[in-house]
Amino acid sequence: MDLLQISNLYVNFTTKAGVVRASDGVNLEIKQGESLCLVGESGCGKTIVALGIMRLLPQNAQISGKIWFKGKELLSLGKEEMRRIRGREIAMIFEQPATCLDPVFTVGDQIAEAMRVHERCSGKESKEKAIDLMEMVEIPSPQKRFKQYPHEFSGGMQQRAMIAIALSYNPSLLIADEPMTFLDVTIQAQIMELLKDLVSKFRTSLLLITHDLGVAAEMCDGVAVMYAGEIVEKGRVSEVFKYPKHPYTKALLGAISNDGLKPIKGSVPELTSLPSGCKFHPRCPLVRDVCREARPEMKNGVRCHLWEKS
Amino acid sequence: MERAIPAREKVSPYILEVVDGLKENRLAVVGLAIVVSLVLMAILAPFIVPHDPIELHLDLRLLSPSWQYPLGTDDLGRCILSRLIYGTRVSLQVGVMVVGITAISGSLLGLTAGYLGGIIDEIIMRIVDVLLAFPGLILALVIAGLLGPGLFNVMLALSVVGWTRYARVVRGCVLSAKERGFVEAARAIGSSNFYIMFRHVLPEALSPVIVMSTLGMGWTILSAAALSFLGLGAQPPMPEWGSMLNSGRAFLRVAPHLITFPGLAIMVTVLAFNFLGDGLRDALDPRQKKRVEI
Repeated sequence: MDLLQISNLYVNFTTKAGVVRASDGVNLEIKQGESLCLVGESGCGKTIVALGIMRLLPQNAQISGKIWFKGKELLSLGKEEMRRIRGREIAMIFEQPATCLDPVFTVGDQIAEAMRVHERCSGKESKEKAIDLMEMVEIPSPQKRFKQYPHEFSGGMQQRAMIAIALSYNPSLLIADEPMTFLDVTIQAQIMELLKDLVSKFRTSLLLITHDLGVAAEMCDGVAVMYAGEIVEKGRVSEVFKYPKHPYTKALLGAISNDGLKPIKGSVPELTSLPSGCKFHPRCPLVRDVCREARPEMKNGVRCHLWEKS
Repeated sequence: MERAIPAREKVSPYILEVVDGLKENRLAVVGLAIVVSLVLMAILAPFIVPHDPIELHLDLRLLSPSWQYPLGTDDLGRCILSRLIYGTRVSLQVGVMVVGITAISGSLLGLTAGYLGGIIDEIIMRIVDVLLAFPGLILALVIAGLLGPGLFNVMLALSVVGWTRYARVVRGCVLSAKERGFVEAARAIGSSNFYIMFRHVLPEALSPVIVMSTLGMGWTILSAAALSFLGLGAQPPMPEWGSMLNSGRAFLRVAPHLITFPGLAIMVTVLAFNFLGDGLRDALDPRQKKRVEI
């Protein structure tokens, strides 16, 4: 059975500019111990799916669909039940570690705080556990670092601290929302290694959100390509990246090929006025008449008219 | 004079930084010194007064300042200096009580309004708007007048009027703080709203509240003295600066020292708190931190 199963997740925002369809019928499954990568350009709704799972969407969001996690339907849980799942069962790492740490408390204090959220834990005990966690995420001299404030940490160290907080309860699912985007390339590699090690060590399932295909290929078993609020292709990383089916996936992979940069022409459509038919058709090099009219269905791991026939 | 740079490289805790910032501001240091000496005066009053502040000496009425009575005597022959020293107690008590009540209740209401939003926010902030539509002192005068004279009623009246500014400022800070990343991160690890409110959101509003409380001390002492001057606050024979002004008013021409010294006491105290408050505002504001040129 899947650890997490999202079916028909719709997230709409009602704004002055109209209804924003940030997630338009997303289906995803993550198995126990599997790591899945959600890739796509900026603004295609990746983060919204993650926040939807956590039920931390902004107040003007309307969410519908089903999110099954360990036999529970998250969207129908009460607020208090959901709160107990957050942090303990599903943890999340955010894009900018610097803003996620409260500047007025020491880093160690905040890691220890995570330990006290769900269980009673004495100050001393939580401090010891926090130092263990800091060792686990390879923060050097944790005793000394425990007493330092977030601004005394480098970006990479801050992200390590965030990972320590996220793993404090050994959650079944870790959602990492672009955890490497704000770091230097060398630090990115370190954090990636660390995450990979920890995830396999604790058999934590990982939902990694990124637009870096290299990271995705390196870290994940499965991949789901998202475009304008829907999944256009999914499958094993090895298959999808080697034999991409959807023109969008091809274009994404082609954009960083060895022949130099090949940007995808055009940009992600405004989520308030999505094109009819296949959402990718205005940018698709293989566009046909049917693409402009009918919305393709997800078949054999790809949402494209060209593949429906063959 | 050159400053030793290596000493500055040591990371000093936040409090020390604030103290450092305060030290650079001369007026704030003066303010702090006056406030500290006022507090000492209030605590040590029984030991340092030259005479009993309440005992009447009808044969020694309206004496000018002399060695025996450094600030002279009032219309009932009481030592003005002693009364001023005891008056410090009353003023500081009123100030601390009122500022304590208003700062805490105003902050809590502002925190609730800002964090929860919606109908609760509307209710609290509309009450604030209504209260702020009246001039503070006039409203306090009306409330104290309705409740009847007495120091306690004055404190009550000033509290009812005073909490609104704290609520407004704290709500503003909370509105910006609750959108910060660490609040979302705290939610993501499953912290409860109550916990997030007090641990992560309230500290964001702390430094403006500290500054406002210090400035509020001045305002409260001044207002309490004004209400006492109008006969609503401290009742005779309690030595209170405002009521001393009031009783001395009749002898303005024959014995001006009767109102000069209480007036000076009020002015110096209020000024001291204002200097200190201004200094604290500069010291606590991280945006005004100076960069050291090397």
